[in-house]
Amino acid sequence: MNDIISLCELTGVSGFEFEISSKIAKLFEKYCEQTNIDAFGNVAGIIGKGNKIKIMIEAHLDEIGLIVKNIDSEGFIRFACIGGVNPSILPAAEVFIHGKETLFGVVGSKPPHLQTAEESKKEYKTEELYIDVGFSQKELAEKIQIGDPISFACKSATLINNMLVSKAIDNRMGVSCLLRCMQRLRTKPTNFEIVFLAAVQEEIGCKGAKVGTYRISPDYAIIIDVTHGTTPYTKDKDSAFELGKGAAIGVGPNFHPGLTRKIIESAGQLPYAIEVCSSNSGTDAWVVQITKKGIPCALISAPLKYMHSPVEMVCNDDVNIIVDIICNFLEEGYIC
Amino acid sequence: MLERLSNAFGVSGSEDEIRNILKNEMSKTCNNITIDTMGNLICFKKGENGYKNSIMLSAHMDEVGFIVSGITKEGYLRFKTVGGIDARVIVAKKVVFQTNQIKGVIGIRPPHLANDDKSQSVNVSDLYIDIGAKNETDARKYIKEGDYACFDSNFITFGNRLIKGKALDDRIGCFTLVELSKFSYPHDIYFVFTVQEEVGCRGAAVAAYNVAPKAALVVEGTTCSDVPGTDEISFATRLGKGAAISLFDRASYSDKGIVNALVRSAKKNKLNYQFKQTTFGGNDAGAIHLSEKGIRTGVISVPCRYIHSPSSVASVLDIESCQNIVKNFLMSEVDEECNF
Repeated sequence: MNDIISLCELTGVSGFEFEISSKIAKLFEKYCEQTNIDAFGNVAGIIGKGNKIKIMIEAHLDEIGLIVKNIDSEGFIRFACIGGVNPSILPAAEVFIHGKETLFGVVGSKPPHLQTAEESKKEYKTEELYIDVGFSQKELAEKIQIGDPISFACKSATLINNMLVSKAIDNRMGVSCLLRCMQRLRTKPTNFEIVFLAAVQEEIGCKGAKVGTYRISPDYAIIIDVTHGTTPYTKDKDSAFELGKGAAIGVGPNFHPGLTRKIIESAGQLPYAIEVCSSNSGTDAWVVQITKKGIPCALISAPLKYMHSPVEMVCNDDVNIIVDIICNFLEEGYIC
Repeated sequence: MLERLSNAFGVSGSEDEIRNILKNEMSKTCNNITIDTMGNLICFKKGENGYKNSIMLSAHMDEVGFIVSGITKEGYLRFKTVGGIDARVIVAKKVVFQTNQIKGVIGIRPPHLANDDKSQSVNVSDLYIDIGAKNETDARKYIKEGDYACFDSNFITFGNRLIKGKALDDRIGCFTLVELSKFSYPHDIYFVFTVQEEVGCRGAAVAAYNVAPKAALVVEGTTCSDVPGTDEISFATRLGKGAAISLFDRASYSDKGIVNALVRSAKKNKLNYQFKQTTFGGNDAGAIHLSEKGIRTGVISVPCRYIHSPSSVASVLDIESCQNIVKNFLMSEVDEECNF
């Protein structure tokens, strides 16, 4: 199975990453000299400890999801969203509720044929939807409780042209880049101390990266995340990138011009596009940049279609390009 | 078996795969199998008593789905729905094509990008199937106009004896007929698997004319609305409370004798049953009861929540109730002349 897909199949809703953090730490341990998990659940792995310049390569490991808000007398579950969940993706979506037991459920709504013409023209609001797990309130008392996290259950798929479809590609794709870089660098030492950080709680405000970066205190940071892929639903005015045409490299106030130039040089002949971020890049780079005395940041992204849905789509070729660019940069061994 | 039937492909107008599975299964229990010009699968089982009158049991094997209507320059597929599908349940879902098992997704604009009006629901005409093609030429290597797709949804069991899958309407009916064909009955029975119910009960009309039974019983998957947001009075059926017997709907009024005989069968054998409480919609009975000089027709259904979505839900208890009510009905509630 593709390594991105196996990472996507892990569950790690923002704020509930305990289990996934330890699983990712196990993977880091295979390649890193040292691996640790901090109080937040951030996973850090080090290669080249003691080298003069410390570079952090960062990707967030959490995913959007839902949370149990109420269990009604018939056993139907009302929920709230964790991270940016578009209610349009919810009707008939399949989910897992992670309580004492993991329960499968279907997101239901008022049946369409019972809706007025007016109602059927409207999108559902989150509060009109519920999760049906097929148990009574009494049976559920033993299995789940209010506050349990809920993840999407959509089975992943591989399409033509190396396109991968799954939930949570945002940003397990990034975590897989960290692992692919480690694999390569293990046998090819560089001049840098490289700290790989898989951070928690990005989807709810870049919280993991903030404390993780403070502790690591790197000289430079490269952030790996996803950006919007071009689809029929994106417009010309949106900043969106074709899948299969390489990485997107961030440019704007969030990024250090010198470091970014260096990354672009490292891309050489590899395909990439420039992503203009006129202020907040919407990634962990936004908080990493102002940590401690300030940290020069660069951002490399993979275009992703249908972001924050159970059918996110990424091109594996683009992910490989990101890894190539970062490894080129690290192997070269100097900043400027 | 139900899992196999639910997962099988059979969008209205393209029922070959599901028909082949059913044909193979029914050949183990029936005396004679024919397929008519529409594609209906008609399986005859000789009765034990040599009665001249026959009874037709009918379940439709088609399911709602999609048909490709065009391919954009960028390689996205335009499509139309086959049968009644609410556009809101197909967003962010996977589909699979019959022709070559090519998979695709129906996407949506990400929430990060501003929307013109988030409160308005989507239209099917605004949606595309994305198979990951680079452009139109690339897409045409795999897909052409007219290709059919269905929901990519795996059958699973969950909760308290519930099942989830696509096409439970009406693979549950197909499953019931397969199971019932394993027993012997006094009358000759035609087990009929119809095509094109979801686009207007077109197969059943032809099948009923061909078979010309004395009486007919339609076995369906029907809407179940015992869920939040619905008043109790609008609960069409309730999940887990037994098979639902129809009194009437928009397409037909059930034969009173058949309704009473089904209720007798349930009561005598202490089986749960319910009456369908709403009268929306219709099914193959609408076509069958008007066939030739008229056929006495009834309907019994298994409640399905989230019907016509990739994630339909039904109760094993209701499936068992349905099967047993119909079995006892055929064995002891119908006389030689098909009086009830």
